[in-house]
Amino acid sequence: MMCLAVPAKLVALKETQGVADLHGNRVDISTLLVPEAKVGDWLLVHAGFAIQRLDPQTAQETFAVLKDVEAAANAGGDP
Amino acid sequence: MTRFTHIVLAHGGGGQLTDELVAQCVLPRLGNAVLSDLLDSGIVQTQGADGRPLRLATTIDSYVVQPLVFPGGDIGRLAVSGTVNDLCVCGARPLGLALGMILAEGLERSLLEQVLDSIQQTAAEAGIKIVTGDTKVVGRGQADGMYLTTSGIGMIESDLRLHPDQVRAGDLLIINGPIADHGLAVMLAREMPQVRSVLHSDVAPLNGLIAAAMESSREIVFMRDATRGGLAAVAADLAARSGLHVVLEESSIPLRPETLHAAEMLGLDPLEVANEGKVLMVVRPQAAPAVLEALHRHPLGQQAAIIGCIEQKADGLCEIRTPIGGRRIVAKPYGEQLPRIC
Amino acid sequence: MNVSSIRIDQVLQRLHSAAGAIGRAVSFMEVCGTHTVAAFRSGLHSLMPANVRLLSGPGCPVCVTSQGDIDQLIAAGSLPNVTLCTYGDMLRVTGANGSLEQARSRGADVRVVYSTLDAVRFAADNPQRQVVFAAVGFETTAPASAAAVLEAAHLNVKNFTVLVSHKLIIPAMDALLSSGLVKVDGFLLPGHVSIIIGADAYRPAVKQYGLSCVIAGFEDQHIAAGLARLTEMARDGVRQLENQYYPAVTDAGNRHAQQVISQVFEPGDVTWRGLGTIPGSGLVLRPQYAAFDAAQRFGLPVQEVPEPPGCRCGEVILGHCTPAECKLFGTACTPIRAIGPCMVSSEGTCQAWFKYKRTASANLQAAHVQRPPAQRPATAGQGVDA
Repeated sequence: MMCLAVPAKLVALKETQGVADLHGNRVDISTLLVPEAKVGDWLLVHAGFAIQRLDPQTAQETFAVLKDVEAAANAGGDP
Repeated sequence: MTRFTHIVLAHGGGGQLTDELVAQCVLPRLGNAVLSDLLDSGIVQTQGADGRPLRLATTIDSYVVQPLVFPGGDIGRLAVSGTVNDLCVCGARPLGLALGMILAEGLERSLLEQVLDSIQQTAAEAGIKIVTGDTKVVGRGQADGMYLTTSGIGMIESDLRLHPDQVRAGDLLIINGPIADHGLAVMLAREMPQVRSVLHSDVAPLNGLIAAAMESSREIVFMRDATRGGLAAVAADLAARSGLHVVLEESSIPLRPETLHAAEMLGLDPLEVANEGKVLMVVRPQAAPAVLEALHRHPLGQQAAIIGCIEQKADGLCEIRTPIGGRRIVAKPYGEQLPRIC
Repeated sequence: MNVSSIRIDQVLQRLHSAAGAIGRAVSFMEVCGTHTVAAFRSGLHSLMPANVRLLSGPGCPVCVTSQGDIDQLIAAGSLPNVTLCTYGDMLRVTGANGSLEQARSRGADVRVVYSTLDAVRFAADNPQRQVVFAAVGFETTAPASAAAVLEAAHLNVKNFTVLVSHKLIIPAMDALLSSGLVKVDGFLLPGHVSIIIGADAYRPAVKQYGLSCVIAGFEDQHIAAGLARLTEMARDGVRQLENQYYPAVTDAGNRHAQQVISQVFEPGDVTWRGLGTIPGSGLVLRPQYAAFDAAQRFGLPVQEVPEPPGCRCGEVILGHCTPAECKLFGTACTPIRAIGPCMVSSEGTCQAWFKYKRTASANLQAAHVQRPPAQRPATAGQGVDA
């Protein structure tokens, strides 16, 4: 889809090459457009690029696909 | 309906275009009462030596999946499961499979043996044997390595007739677990190897699960395995064939979050993605609790759920009730979004 | 906007209450193909008040790409020694000589990529091939194309080029509104384009044309809430921009993305299907990056060809006619044998209608296909209800 971006958590970063994770799916992404991104940040990812940082609260509240993530995080392990 | 002059990839999608091919080319020439019923297996009736009626089911499927090995399975496991499942959704007990292999010159022996091991393991899981087979070899580069065809034969032991014309208003729809895992796992493996996903195919023989369900109730009236075209295809088909109105409840359809996420990344609709270990059952409402309990006790049915119902309107349509309470049509997918996934 | 706590029943109540108070018919336009599909999938159309219409505008990047540009893309993909990399949406778009998918089945090397950087990497790993990336889309995808050019320049990859067809949403809206071609009560604005360009980008048009606008996300509840707010704004005569996709969308937008775009591209006059040439409405490569221009490298001129006869995509994308009002819809023009891009594209209005709005008569026709000859039911009617 041209416009659909999905939320994911940045789990690794080297310069602008990062790895984003959501529910265990890991994808290589570029943080060129969001250079302030740090490991552990929630990002909005589109076609291999992060386009925005999201605070965890916003991520959780905005995206239905994340509704199980908080439960998993609260259980003591980040996915 | 327009008249096509050449085959396109979408003719193999299991959607409306496949139907068109069958209707325009196959049925006019080969059609008969059994074939034209277009169920997952052909049911033939004969008499045993003692004069009692015997109903046998037979089916055939070809497997052209790419890649040959994918997360959760391979072409061999697919070839056994797919044909076993086509038999058992018609209420048949699988008796044996025939296996045809078309191998491309240059295929590594180790890969062939890996696939054969997988066939043996899956057949053992299903409690059946490969009783005959054939092997052909074609030139390098053809057959993308390997094509498999399996044909199966089974015996229908109960007197039940599983058919869309048995479906009535008030009946409930049950699925045995989460959708879209197979097609997305294969799609990612093939098109996007840079996505390291946790998805794996659900490919599995369902005869044990279905036998358990049928043992729990005589009021399962129809079953389909939701392969190419996904749940959307079988639900829309059910509506069209029964002539009744099918309603799916979107929030009740089991779907893993990682599968939904992968679908969103690819811009695909999980409803239209192929499954290889999922059966849609239509049951009388009073039978649902017993069927669900039987499914939940089985490893392949632990997330079984009621996902819809049949309504009285005679319009042959399938609708889905969305999470915000709206309704929209679910049509049989037209083309092919996911080529070569089974 | 809190999806989990949006009370959809309250949102729908607000929508109906506002629509009732307005009394007349109102229509709003969304300008993003992803919104078109999401709105249909959500079932929102079935919940809308009778006097509220949500029209699809020129928001599907494939649909607004001119026929000539599409032909140019397919010509590029069919060149020997060229590997054409594209997003999946473009595969089935049809030009004068078939589609990229058909070209692929005839032996062309066409690859779907997830990220533009995959195309650059492929070029770096395969110096003997010419790699062309089909750079299509609005501002959401433009930064990715720019980043690819910068990466190729940085790595000194000489066999990578882009065929640029990016469009800009603000000049398009401007052209639509100044021409009087579109008369709607407000706009549902795309959340992800807005993340890039920022809410402030819309403010001049909002002020100049007195628009009611809501920036909305793509979840079911977002779209419903956006529509409810627009209807309330129409009721109250409120003409301003509201950002319901905050904090993802900020007033300034993503400055890094904007900077990357303007480093590599500059606005140019480009041709839109149905709208003709709109000044400054697309992106072209800056002169210092001309070496990455596939059109120049391969001498691919764009010839404007007329729309196929009977195709009304140009009117559909302006909301001037519905797909069902096009004589070709559902008969000669279907998702497999598509005549216009609105039907080919997974985000096109015509394909969305075909998929989500076909009714009883069309489905009985499908059943007709399956039954054995002796049992064919009488078909109640042909064609498609609007």
